[in-house]
Amino acid sequence: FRISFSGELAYEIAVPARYADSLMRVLMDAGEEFGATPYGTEALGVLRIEKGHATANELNGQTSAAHLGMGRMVSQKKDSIGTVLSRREGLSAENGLRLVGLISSEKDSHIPAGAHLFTEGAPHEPASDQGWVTSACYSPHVEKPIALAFLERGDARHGEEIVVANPLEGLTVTAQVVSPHFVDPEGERLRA
Amino acid sequence: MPDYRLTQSVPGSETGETGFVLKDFRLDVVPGLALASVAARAGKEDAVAAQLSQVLETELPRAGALCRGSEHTAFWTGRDQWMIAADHDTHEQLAAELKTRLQDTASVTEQNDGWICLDLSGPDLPGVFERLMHADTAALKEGAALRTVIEHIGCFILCLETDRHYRLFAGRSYGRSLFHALCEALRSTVALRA
Repeated sequence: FRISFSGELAYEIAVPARYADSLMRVLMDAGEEFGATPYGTEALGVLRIEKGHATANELNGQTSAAHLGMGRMVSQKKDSIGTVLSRREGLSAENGLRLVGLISSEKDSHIPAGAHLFTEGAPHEPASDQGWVTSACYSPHVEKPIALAFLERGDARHGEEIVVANPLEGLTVTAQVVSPHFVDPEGERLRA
Repeated sequence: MPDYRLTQSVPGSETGETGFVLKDFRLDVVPGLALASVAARAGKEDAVAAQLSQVLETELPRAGALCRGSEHTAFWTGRDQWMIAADHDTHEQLAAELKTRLQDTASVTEQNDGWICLDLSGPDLPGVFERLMHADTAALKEGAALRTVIEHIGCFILCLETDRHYRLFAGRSYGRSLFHALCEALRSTVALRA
């Protein structure tokens, strides 16, 4: 059946466990003429960050649909699991956290996952904390380090340059706030 | 396009062994089991017990025990939870069969090929197991089943015949490690008893 963790056109094939090894070998053999290449979770992680697919790093138990830019997909009239909690003031504020993408301003400056976000000149302390980086990698498509992050009013701040700070290790980089969907934002490849 | 046919890789095949024999000891990989875990849902415990007793042709095992019917074996894995085993060739759809019978009184999860099963037989096996686990295996009599750890591998150990025949289950990916651990324990036991 069709499902995609990577953001690319993809299929999932389920067989009884005892046929799994054989299935993999058959797929590799049948795919040889097409250049079939096995890839693991590290590569999958890069692909899904480039696509802007939220996963465990972003879904931390306090993440609501609104945080992910999917607030309009949740009915305000009908009940659903998690709806009541998601309407708590801290989770539903109009100027609350929003998922954004970050592109490092420097090609060689990686964005530390877990780093916090500040405006230029603001002290790196909790009172001026604007959000944090959830996932980070080097993007072969963007050809720069990228990241996903939660940023206050992030959906209205695309194009802004933000400070990414890791005070524990004394690291600071700057990054541009962009859409979290770096690759195929319209989903054309996914739905090919 | 070639005509592809999938081949089976049963638990234990990763060890590269079908068994190990040393003196009077014998360690066998048991490949052909269908497995399903059953957890009774809240308030449905009696209904589950009644249905499973019919399947097993005997009462459900209590904590720390197993029971054997003509086609099924069950062992206790937790409060209101059991693992059910049967021959894979005749009960490949074991989980589906149980779910059909139990409906929404229990959660049933297929466990086929997720566990390696090893049978160990020979004289005075508690003397072998005391090198491997902290459980009191001398107290593990026929019909007992307990959960323990062997070399950091979580295992179930079932006593099929007091002192002489035990069946072990562990996660499939630990198969090679568990097989090796048991072989080494047998080697050191034989060396010390020589």
